[in-house]
Amino acid sequence: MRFLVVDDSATMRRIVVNSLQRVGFSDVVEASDGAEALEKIATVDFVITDWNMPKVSGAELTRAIRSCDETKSMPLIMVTARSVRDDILTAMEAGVDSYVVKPFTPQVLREKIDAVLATRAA
Amino acid sequence: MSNSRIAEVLYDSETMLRLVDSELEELRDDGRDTGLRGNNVGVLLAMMQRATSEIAQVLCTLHTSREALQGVTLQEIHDSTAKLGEVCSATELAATRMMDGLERAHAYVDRLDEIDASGSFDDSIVEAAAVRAKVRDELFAVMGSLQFQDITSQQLGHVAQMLRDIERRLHATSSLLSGGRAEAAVIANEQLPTFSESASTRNSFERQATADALFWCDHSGKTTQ
Repeated sequence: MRFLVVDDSATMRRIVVNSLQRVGFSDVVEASDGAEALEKIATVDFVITDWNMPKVSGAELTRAIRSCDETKSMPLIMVTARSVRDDILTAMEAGVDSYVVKPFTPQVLREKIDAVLATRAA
Repeated sequence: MSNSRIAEVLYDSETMLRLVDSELEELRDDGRDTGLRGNNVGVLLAMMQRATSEIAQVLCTLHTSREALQGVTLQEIHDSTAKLGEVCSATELAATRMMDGLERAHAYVDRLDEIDASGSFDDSIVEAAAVRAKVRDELFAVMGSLQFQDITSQQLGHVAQMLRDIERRLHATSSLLSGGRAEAAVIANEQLPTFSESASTRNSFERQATADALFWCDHSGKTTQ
């Protein structure tokens, strides 16, 4: 399974990539914002995206992915520092499958990935 | 000009206007007494009273604006200070966690040296594997602590936004008080980094639980429909 990690912070991308590797997912590509992510979306199976990014935000990226026939069923997790109720509801309305609040641990990320894949398989 | 000085000037101006108003009333009464009603002096007095009233209204508006500006600015300065305090504690906490983890990792490496020096096998091989796993855990925990950088940069972005708002408001007030003659302020126009006002290193477990609960409710709702 190939993951796409989208975050404008290079440090955070490395942390997410290392976390994925830590829990057994080593096939990862990266994008520094939503626009770059949309260019790479066709080559991946699972998206993990930040919310606050220049050009195209994580919420906008999610809506773009959900509005396209080829990508609308792509598993997607939002990993973000936004944690107020309205933000979470906005992310749900945009179409994210799960939500991870920063700072996070690899174990939490793994739990959410497993849950999303299990829901998709059901 | 300081807040107290501005308040002083406004108070003096209002007092002066009240005195002028009072003098005008006396002049009008004098004019009535001496049979000057309806002549040029009377018209002039009426005009001056209208002008006085308008100036009083302008002063009242300035007074209200100053109070509003002061209230909002003080709140933003308070919020900025709170955010900067959180940045300080977040960096301190992350540094402490990283230092603790590195010290533990260092102790594990020392233990690996002791195992190597003991020269025995069997149990040593098993223990060394366990110690190496602990070293990996500690190093990974240090990496995880580096998430503070992303969160504090968002908090600082929020502070920068508030400072820019204060700068704009002060410039607008300065222009108002100087009748538009204020020097053009150099207000930075560069794009601020994107940020979340709620970004925090605190209570991540509780905040994750809130998100999980909302998603659980949503998922339950969909499956029961």
